[in-house]
Order: sequence, then C-alpha cells, then structure tokens
Amino acid sequence: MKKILLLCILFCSLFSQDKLPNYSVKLLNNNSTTLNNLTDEVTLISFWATWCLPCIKEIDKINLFVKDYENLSVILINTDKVGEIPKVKRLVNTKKYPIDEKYHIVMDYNQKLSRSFNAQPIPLTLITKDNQIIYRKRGFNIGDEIEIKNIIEQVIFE
Amino acid sequence: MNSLITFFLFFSTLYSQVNITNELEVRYGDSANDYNYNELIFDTRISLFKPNYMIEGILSFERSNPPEIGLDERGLRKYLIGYYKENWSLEFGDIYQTWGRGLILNQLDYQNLDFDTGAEGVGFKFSKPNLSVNLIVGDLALSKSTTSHSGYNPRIPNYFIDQFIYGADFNHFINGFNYGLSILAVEENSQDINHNLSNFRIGKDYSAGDIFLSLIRKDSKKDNFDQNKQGSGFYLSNTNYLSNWSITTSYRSMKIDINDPISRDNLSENFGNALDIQRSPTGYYLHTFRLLSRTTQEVNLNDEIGLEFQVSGPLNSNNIVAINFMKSSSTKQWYQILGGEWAGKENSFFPTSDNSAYPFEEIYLEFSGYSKNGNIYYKTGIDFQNEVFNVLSNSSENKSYEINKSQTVPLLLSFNTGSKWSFEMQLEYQKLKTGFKNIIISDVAGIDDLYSFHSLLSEKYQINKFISLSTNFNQKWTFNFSVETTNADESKLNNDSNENFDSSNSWKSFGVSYKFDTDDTLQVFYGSVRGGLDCTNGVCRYIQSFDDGLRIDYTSNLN
Repeated sequence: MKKILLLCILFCSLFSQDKLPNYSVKLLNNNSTTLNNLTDEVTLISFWATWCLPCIKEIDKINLFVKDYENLSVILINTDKVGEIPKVKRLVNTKKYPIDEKYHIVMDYNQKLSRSFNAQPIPLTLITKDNQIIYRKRGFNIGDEIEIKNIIEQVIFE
Repeated sequence: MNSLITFFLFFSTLYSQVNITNELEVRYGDSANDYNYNELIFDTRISLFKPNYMIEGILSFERSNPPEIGLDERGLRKYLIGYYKENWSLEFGDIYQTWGRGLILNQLDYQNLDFDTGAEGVGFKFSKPNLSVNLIVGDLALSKSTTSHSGYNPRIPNYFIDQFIYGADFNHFINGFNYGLSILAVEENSQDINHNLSNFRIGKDYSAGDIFLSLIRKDSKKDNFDQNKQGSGFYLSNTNYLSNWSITTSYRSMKIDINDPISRDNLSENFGNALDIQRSPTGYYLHTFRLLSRTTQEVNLNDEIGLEFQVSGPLNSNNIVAINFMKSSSTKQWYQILGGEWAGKENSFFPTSDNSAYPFEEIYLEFSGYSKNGNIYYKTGIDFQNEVFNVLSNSSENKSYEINKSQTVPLLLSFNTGSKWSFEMQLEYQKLKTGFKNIIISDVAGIDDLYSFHSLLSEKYQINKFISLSTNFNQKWTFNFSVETTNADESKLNNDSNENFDSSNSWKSFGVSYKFDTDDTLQVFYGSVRGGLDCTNGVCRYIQSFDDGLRIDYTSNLN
C-alpha cells in the first residue's frame, strides 16, 4: 500500500500544477478574505516576519518598484506570532508600506500558509501568474531584487 | 496489480486539479562532546482544487536516531487532512489553532526547540466578514527537559504530559469593535487534573492606531487535593501613529499560579501553572543578535506584572531609530518570616525594582538603515539589562539574590559590491555580571549593612565577544567564519562533573553553503557553537553547546 501511495504521489507530481490554494486569510486590519481575492494578473508573494532581517531588506527593496506596474499585486504574508501585531503595525507605519487594494499584509496567525507553502526558512518569495506559481525564491541578498524585478517584467510584458 | 492500475487511473483523472509540494531535509551532526544526530524529514502536501472547495492532505515523515533535540522518531510524525470551503473548513489530524492573541490557545510547532503543542483530533472553522467560530477537540502529547525531574538532559525530554482538550472560540465585529470569547477545557487523566480556561477580548482599530484588551481566567482542579487553583490575568496594548512615528505601550498583569521562591520553578508539582498551549504576546524585545538572544526573556504567565514601551520612527529617508523600554517583576515581593517560611507582599499596579520581586529591566536603542546608494545596510544599538532571576533569602538578617547585569553593543553591516559579491559582518561586545548579590543587615547603630558580590566564574565581569564574517558569491556560494570568546572559566559551572560539559572559552566555526537552485541547498559546517538560550518567537529553551564537530544539512523542495 505504501509503495502504491508513493507511486501515486510521484505520478501526480509529474503532472500537477503549482496552483495557489484559495485559503481564507486574515489581513492586518483584521478583515477576512480569500487569497484569490488579493491576487492580480501577476502577484508577488513574500513570507516575512519582523525579526527576519533579510525579509525586511527584501521588502524595502521591492517597495521601490512594485507600484510601477499596473497589473501587479503584492501580498506580504507575516509569520510573526499572533501577539506581535503591535510590532507589525509599528514597522508597517514607520516604513510606510504602501497598503492599498494592490498591496496587502496577510497575518498567518496559525502558520497555516507557512506550513502549506513550506515557507520555513523565510523569506520565501513567490511570483504567480493567473494564480499559478511560476517562481520561487528562498532567502535574500541585496541585489536579488533585480532578479525579482526582471521576472515580473518578463511575465507582465511577455 | 489491478489496484495499482485503478489508483493510477483515479489519480490521472485528477492530475490537472492536483497540486503537490514536497520538502526533504537531511541533517547530520557529530561532535567531540557527543552531540551526535542524524535526521531525515520528508514533508508532502497534496491539494485537490475544485471550483467550490479544496481538499488537502499534509504528511510529515521523520526518521531520526537520535534527533538533534527530542525523542527518536521513525515513521509518520504528523498528518492533516482538511476540507476547505469559502466560509468554513474541517480538519482531521494534527490541528493548530490560535484564538485571540494566544492568551488562551496558541498552538505552535518549533521543531528546533522540540516544542510542539499541536492536538491530534478535529478542528472546525466558520468565518464570515463580521463573524468567526473555531472549534477544537483532540489529544496533546507534550514533553520537556526539566531539572525538576530525575534524568535531566538538555536534549532528551524527561517529563511527559498527555492532555485532552476541547473548546470553542467566537469572534464578532460590530460597531467598529472586535469582540472575542473563548472557553477551553483541558483534562490530564493520568494526573487526575482538570483545567477550565475562559478568555474575553475586545479591540478597536482607529485612524491613528489601535487598542486591544484580553482577559484570561483559569481554574485547575486536582483529585484528592483540597483546594482548586484559580488564576487570572489581563493584557492591554495600545499603538498610536504620529505621522511616520509609532508608539506602542503594553501592560500585562498575570496571576495564573503564584508560588513562593522555593516552589516557583517546580513545573511538575504546580498543577495550577499556565499551560504550554497558552502563549501570550511576548512582552519583551525579540533580539536577533547572538549575544542578546541569550538573555531574551519569556513572559511568565503564572506571576508577572510587565510594562513595555516602544517608539520607532525615521530619522530621515534612509535611517530608522527605535527605542524600547521593558520592565517586569513578579506580582509579589517575597520575604522570610520566623522559621524561614516565605510570605508575599502584593505589589502595586506597576512592576517594581525591589530585588525580592524578581525585577527585570531593559533599555534597547537601535538604529538601522541604508547608505544613500542603498548598497550598505547597517543595524546597531546599545542594550542595558538588569535582572534578579533567583531570590535565595530575604530575612531581617540577610538577603541573597542571583543577578544578571549586562551591557551589549551589537553591529551588523551588509555590503553589496554591485558585482556578484556581497559581504556581511556582525560584531558584538557584551559586559556581563552574573552571580550572587548578598547583603548582611546590620542591627548595630553606626555600622552599615555589608554588601558583597561573588560569581561562580573566575571573573567578576564576563566579557563576551562575537564576530561573524560572511560572503556570498552569485547567490550560489556562501562562506561564513564565526568566532565567539569569553574571558570566564565556565568549567566552574559544571557542578555535576558532566563529561560532555563544554569548558571552552573560545568557539570557532567555518561554514559553506551551496545553493544548487532556488529549492536545493547544501550546508557544511565545521567547528564549535557555544550553548545557551535559543528562542523562537518568544519560546525559549537551553541548547547544549556543539563542540568541535561536523554538521551537514541538505534541504530540497522536490517540486
């Protein structure tokens, strides 16, 4: 039975799509919605936390260009413990993260999204097109934002 | 063979709607002080997407003998099968839920600390924009390493707890306020203990900030024990924005299970203690610098008054300053009456600095930012901490306390050369005074009290230094060299003459990491790592040192 299960997993892996699961999620302002309601034609997703320095660096860098693209949505999935909401809000305000209808901060309180996306260690960055994951990147070094920008432009202008 | 074909056909018809992600992690370690481990962890997630629902299975397999920390595992470590609709979901398996801000229930899985409070059972969630309901029922199996029981080993648990939990959580948004109400029952049948917890919350977001209040009550009953234990507490937080500046103030008063200095840390006897599934807001700064993280505090839900004040804002377009002030103490000042018995005197609303109330105080100032061209990132600061972590005696004749007092200066610098190379440098310096402060009270007029301090270490001040240099090439190769030193002779702390005790005062290591692609990484490490407190998101555990050994980690997302 175990062999059959493993074979099935292998078989499905060959043909499966890397699709964004449509979970219900909670935003920083405590509103509930679903992941698909937050996405656009192209979406940049980043798993982050206030204590994660590479994550903060990555967000600082991508914030410099994400508003240049009309069809791009940004979803920052925060993995801080639920009690750290004040810390998250303080950082978002101090750094002026441009929250609007195309820039969202999702709170992954029970680590549901983190577990589902194998997001540890963070940062984990994903780019989706029509809710299909087309790019995954783990970790961040200054300079990586150029690669992210190039991928976004390739997808938008292809 | 027929069943095999059937399975293939069945899965083939579904292939276009199925999503599978897998992760493999292989870890090996071998050191001179027998910190040896080998682990293989394989996680897989299978999701079936349909227009109106989703079914998902998460399986986690582990083979470890022994693991880096915890008990040996062979087979299925965790599983979860979930059915998700737009407004509700039903899950079977290892359930993790968080209610409110965690004061009543906040289930976590930190494998690096062997801390797992997931419940094997059933979870249900219903949510609409203004309303949500969570239900949970399941079994918890917890394990700990504690000196309260025989056979203490920092890596292998020696104390085990089985709990059966069930409860409900209700949240409602109305007239601009968020209300929440939760009740939870926890049964420890092997110990004949029952806990009943209730939590009420109210919060409001307004244009220039937010305010949040959470109250908890816990009743614990043990069969054949005369008295029930009743505890309570509350947490209040307020954040205000003044342009780009943010000011957060939080206050907590926790009185779940107050015990005198003798029985304060005896977790196996204090059946009224707060539970591991309760994780409150951290209340302290979560440091990421190496030396500072060793002195990180954990909120004591059983007996603590705490105050936290944080201000942060931009100095200019590239630089940010943050000021953090934290103060806490126990809810009582402890003193000894005739015969050496302990008695407690209630503190006021605010934390006190009185030594007999386990005071802790920290001021942390941090600057961070980028150079004008964005190629250099820096983070630096200065930290002052004062703590009494043990009250040994407090009578009219003498007083004795165990204290920690530290000043730390950390610095992090990252450079990006603009080519394929980037560099990172971390420097930390800490002056730490740790030991016993004794006062002999003079009852003779004209003669002052006699103050003295002694440390088990050879030095009055422990000077700790940490240097780490890293370089990354082409986002593929990373090289790291780290060295940590102390001037103190820590072998004097080895009271048990433990042969695995690491008595070094210098720890050097060299690591290489190679990223094959975005999903596959190999790390090789050789050297030593100093032991000490390791914290993840406010959950802390003492980790043994790793002395002169080899570590190899390989991780792969098999997608």
